[in-house]
Parts: sequence; C-alpha cells; structure tokens
Amino acid sequence: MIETSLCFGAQGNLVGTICLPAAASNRAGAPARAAIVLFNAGIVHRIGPHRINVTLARALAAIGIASIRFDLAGLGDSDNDASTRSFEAQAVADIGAAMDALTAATGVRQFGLFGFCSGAFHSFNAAQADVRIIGILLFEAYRYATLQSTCRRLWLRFRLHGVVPNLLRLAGKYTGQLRPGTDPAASNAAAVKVSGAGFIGESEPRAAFAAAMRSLLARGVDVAMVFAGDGLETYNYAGQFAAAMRGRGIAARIPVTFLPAIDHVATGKPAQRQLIDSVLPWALRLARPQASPATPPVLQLSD
Amino acid sequence: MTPLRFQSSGGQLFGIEHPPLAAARNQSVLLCNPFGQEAIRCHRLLRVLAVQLARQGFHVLRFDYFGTGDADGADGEGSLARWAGDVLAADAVLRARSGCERSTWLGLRLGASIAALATQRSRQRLHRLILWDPVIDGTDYLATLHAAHLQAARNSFGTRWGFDARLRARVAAEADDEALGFTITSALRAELQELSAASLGMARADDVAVLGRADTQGMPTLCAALDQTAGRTGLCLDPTYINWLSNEAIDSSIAPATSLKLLTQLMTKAA
Repeated sequence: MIETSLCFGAQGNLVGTICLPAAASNRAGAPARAAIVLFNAGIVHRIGPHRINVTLARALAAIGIASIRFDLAGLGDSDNDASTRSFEAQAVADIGAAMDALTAATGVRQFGLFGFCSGAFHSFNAAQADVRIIGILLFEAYRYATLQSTCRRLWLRFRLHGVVPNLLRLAGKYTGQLRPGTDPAASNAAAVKVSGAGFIGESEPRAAFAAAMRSLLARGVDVAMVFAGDGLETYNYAGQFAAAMRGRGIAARIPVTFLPAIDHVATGKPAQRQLIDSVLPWALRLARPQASPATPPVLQLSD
Repeated sequence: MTPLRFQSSGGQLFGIEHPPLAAARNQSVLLCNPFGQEAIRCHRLLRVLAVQLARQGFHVLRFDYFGTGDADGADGEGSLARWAGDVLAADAVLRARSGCERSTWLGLRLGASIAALATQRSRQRLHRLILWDPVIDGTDYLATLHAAHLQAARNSFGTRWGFDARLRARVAAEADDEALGFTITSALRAELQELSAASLGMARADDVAVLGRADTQGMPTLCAALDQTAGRTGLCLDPTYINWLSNEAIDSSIAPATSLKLLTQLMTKAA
C-alpha cells in the first residue's frame, strides 16, 4: 500500500489522501476497473468515524483497489470554496474533483462512492450528476417507515415504558396535532411518524427517491444499502427497505444488508469489521466484475 | 496550509503545516493531538487554533501519531513511548522547515501528557510547553474511557439497551480492550496506568503553562511538581467544560471561543 496526501481541486482547497495498492497486491490479470471515493460522515473529518475510512482504504488496497479519502470544502482540513453553490451542490462538485485527482493518480475513470450517514445523501446526488460513478453504497440513509416498522417501534416502546405511559404520550401528541393551524404533513412530530404520514430524517419523499433510483439503476449503477441496528425507531427489520419500496421497481435490484449488532457510527471493533465486510463485496463487484467471487476473500484486518 | 507525510520510527506520519500568515515571530508551535475519539472530536478545534496562531505569525504543525488519523499504522499499534518519539520526529520536521529558533509544544488532553513525556527525551531546548486539560491520572482516564464506551452504547441503542441483555454483555466485553472504537492494548493500558502528576511533573522546558480547570483532579499536584523541575510554571484557568469524549455528537463541532482566546493570548504574550 502506498499513501500520498495532497491538496487538489480547482482552487487547491481540498485535502485528501490517495491510497494505492502495492504492486504485489495487484492481482494478475486486468487492472481494477473502478476506484473508491471516501469522504466525510457528518462533520467527522476524512478519516471517518473511529478511523473507519482509513481501515477501509487499506483493506481495499489489499485487494488491489485504489481509493481517495478527502474532506469536502469547509470540512476537516479542506478550506471553503469561493463559489456561491449550496452546500449540497458544492459536495457534488468536490466529489467530482476527488475523482479527477484519482484519475490523475491511477488512470482509473470509473468510481464507487461509499456514503456514510450524511455522505449517503451526497453520494446519491453525485451519482445522478456524474456518469463516472458506477456504484454507490449508502450506509444509514433513506430509512422509510412501513406499517411493520411502525408496529415494531410501538411494540418496543410499550415493552420498555409500559402501556399506560405510551398511550398517554400518544394521546397528547395526537391532541396537539389536531389543533387548528397544525399541518401534520409539515410536522416532524412522533405521531406523524407513527401514522406513517411522514418520511424520516432528511430523506426525500419516497416517490422522488424511487424515481431517481430507477434512473441510476437503468444506467447500470450498482447500488447497495446497509442499515445499522441501533436506530430501531426508524429502521428495525431486514426487509423494511424492500417493503417501503414495494411496487416502485427498485427493491428487487438493490441488495440491502441489515446489521442489527452495529450502531449508526460503527463504534466497536466488531461493528467496524462487519461494516467493512459489507462494503468489500460491493467494491469488488465494481472494480473486478469478472473476477468478483460470490463471497470476497476473508481479510485479516490488522486492527 | 500544506499536507505532509514524514518519517518517524517504523512509518510515515501525516501532518498539516500552517506557515505564518502575518509577520513571522521566529517561533514554531507543534500541536499534539489527544487519543481516540477525543482526537476526532477536537480535530476542528485544533485546525481553528492553528489558523489563528498562523495569523499571529507562528509557524504551526499539526500531525497524527503512528496508528492514528491519516498516519501509517493500524489502530492498536501505538504506545505512549512511540507517540512521544513521534512528537520528537514532528518537532524536528517543524524546526527544519520553519527555521525558527524557538519552539513551543502545545498538547491537548492525552496529547499534553505525551508532549510532557517527550520533553524528557528531547535533546533540543524547548522554549515553551503548554499542557491543555492534560490527562494527569492515567488510571482515572482509563475508567473514564470505559464509562464513556458503555454510555455511548446505551445512548445509541436507546430502547433496545433496556431489554437486550446480550447486547449489554457484548458491549461490556468490548470495553475491556477498546474505548469508543479505538483499541487499548494491554501495553498501552500499562503505560496509561503509570501516568501521574509525578511522571508529568518531570517535564522540561524553559516555561510551562497549564491550561485547565482548577478543580481537575491532580492539577495542584501537577503544578507543584512542575514548579520543582521545569522552568517558570503558570496555571491558566479555563472555565470551559467540554465533553471531549462524546461519541454521538457527530454533527456538532467544538471550537470554544473562550479557550481559543486564552490560548492565543498565552502564546502572543509569551512570544
């Protein structure tokens, strides 16, 4: 593995580290078709929560896949951009600049994006804007409620807090929202989520999400989704994404992994390993579609 | 601002150099990171501090120890002794690149403790050592990390934590050899258990300043010990309380104006 840290981008304001496989790690045969782009989760700088981007980059290098981990403009070590773009549009532009830098270093012209938490939204946006992106892995985003997830959530609450306190709480919420002048659709209150009227977090409405996703799938983008197990309020069973997207023409084409033992930021070492083990098969499919085995090689992560 | 990779024993370290943005003061400042989640949490804070010091004419270097951040090495391969050696390697790079005659080391949390230990191995004269909320009692720090690991899991898993005994048992087992996702090897644990006001009090510099809260456990003992061995020692009171260990505050940054102002005043007055 060879790592190089650099400033890049049109204004030289972005900071990142390119991680290249050592020559010995480049398996015999065709070079990797794609490289992987890693960047911020929330405001955590480019190394990722608990340094997971560094561990992942080195695991990718060990199987012959190059990567860049970098800070979006204004985050981590990267300076702000002088443009007047929105943060979301700037993130898409920055991801484009990171791909340019990787092409300059490796010659690779196709990419996969690992979107961790808020990075998943940027990955989804960037994939719609840039045809160089042939894969996105979205971790912990686009969690849409279903009747079953709502029932499970209520069951969990009743189990923990008891029936009477929960009934009183729900009655209070509904009563508040039935007051004149309250727009339930605009509310983020728990009762709206319980009723299934709303969508969760920053995710866009499911119809718009599904339409954009259909376009990506039609283009051949390899989309994978991974969900953690600590957000049982929002995602609480393996088939939730498929159920939420039933009839929208995407569910059967997107592999979904539910990891009930890990938390949203993959805190413990076992959680980090599980998440990385979920990313590697997707990365292999992108980078070595011919050689990609049904199950990837078992890697001995040094930590 | 320039990203660097430079050699220390056994691998390359990552650093970011901030050359002076105003009339140069002929003084370099080496910023020493905390450990683990605390280093993640204060990345922005140290970056802001570096820029502010560069604007005051200081030549600043931030860097990652071996096995941390963007440096070579896997989590769990570091130790206090190795990281103290990394401080010396980073200081040599900074002195060579800046050409400054006077050097200050400014460490935060465990970074302060590592810097204090590194002074005892340095052959170069150190103009100033600033210990910002240092980890004084290593045993107490280990207990704090252990509690933080359990608390973070309790907060993350919420409802489930209450009734999932297997989850609680698994997290409790994790906490024996890691803290918030960062490995604590038995060797590192042993080194931390040796950390005390007495061991930090052996620090050597022309001038030592401790920035922290007066009610921090061990603070009076540390200041008294530093008075005996170092040059002039001063305790600069910072009333700011920061939860350096927060795991779930992924979308909240910390850059407390009070602390930054105190630090830049401390630096500019002394320079």
